Amino acid sequence: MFSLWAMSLLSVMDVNALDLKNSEEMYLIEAIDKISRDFDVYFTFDKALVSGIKVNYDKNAVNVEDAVGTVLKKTTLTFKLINEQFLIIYKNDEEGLKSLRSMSKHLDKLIREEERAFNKQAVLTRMI
Amino acid sequence: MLSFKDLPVKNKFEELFKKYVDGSLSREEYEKFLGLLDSDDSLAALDKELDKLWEHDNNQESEVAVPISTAKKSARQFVFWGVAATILIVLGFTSLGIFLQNSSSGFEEYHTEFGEVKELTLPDGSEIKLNANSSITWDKAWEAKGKRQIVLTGEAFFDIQSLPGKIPFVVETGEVSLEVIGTSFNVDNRSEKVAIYLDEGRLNVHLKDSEIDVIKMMPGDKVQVDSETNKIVKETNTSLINSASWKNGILNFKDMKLSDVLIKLTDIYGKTFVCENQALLDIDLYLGVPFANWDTVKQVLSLSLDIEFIEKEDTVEIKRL
Repeated sequence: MFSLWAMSLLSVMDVNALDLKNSEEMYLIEAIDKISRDFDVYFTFDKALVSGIKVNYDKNAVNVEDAVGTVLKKTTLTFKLINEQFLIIYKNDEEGLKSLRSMSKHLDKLIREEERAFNKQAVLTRMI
Repeated sequence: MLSFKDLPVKNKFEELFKKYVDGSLSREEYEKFLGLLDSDDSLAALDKELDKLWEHDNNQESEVAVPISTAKKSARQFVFWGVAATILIVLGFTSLGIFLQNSSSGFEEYHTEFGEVKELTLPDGSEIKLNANSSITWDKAWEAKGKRQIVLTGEAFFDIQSLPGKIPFVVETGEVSLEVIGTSFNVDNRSEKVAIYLDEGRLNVHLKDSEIDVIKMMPGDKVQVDSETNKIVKETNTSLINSASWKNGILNFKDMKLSDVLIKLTDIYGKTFVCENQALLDIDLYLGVPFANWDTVKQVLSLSLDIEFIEKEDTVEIKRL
């Protein structure tokens, strides 16, 4: 019984040690700058929202959503990714959700317009 | 045979008159001629002879006058057509000169509207990407002058073609003159400030009315000149992403006050922003959005800053949600 408890404790410690080894503590603003350079993405946010917050940056994150998700995990902030290159960080509250809904409607409209333009062009190309 | 004495007075007078006209009168004949003038026959003969002479002179004059008149007319016509031809030639050369001047000299102007970006290729092969609400003028006589020259208002990214003979390329903007040699660089001249970012090559920045003669730039350098305060700031190791991301279709502002971002957006989209909340204007903001339409930028700002935009034509009021 004791050996089982000791083994599980050790495995948890190993995972934590591995997490620490793969992550780096830094200010959120620094993590955002690093993600921006590592994944070639652009952020929009109010600097006051992210100032003074320390986070763990996952050095092994395979994509931008994982990287940003990890650094914002223990904060009151969330994010929205647009066109795989643009990220908006905002407060995870009711106002934020309201703005997000409005923006999503707008972006959906833009996407539909672009799709229509693309389809129209494709039809014209086939006719030619 | 009749002698002079036997001739009637009238005939004598005629003969002497002819000699008088010819100038062959002798002294004796001249005295006789004067003596005959008193007689009526002589006066009648004189009258007749004078008429003859008059007609003769007139005939001679008219014989000569006709060709003289024709010659004068011809001469006048010659002069007229000569002048006309000269005027036509002068006008022709002037028109040709103006045509050649317009086609090979003067300035070519390019400009963009709000929210519009244009890619241009200059006659020398250099490529320019012109940001929104900007203009350039290009000196068309660059080959004759041996100097390529552009005047910029607004913002543009330059990719300059290096030519044989090292023909210099000069960009004039605000209080700054840029001397270029085979270079890629960005120039932003708005709101009394000129910001130059050098991506590749070499660039010499000449400042008008400044004690500093020249600032030599290396790739990654960014020079900002404030013409109002004469303040010059030089940064090194900057990047295209941070200094001229618009070139790649991205609006990217880092750590800027919302008020400054709004000035940039005014330049690009032609909007007039109204905000009575000073605390809102003082927000330090990071903005990275596609250089797309204004509506997208507006939505992104709304979400990230908890604000709303109330638009009436080109005036936009900003309020906290």
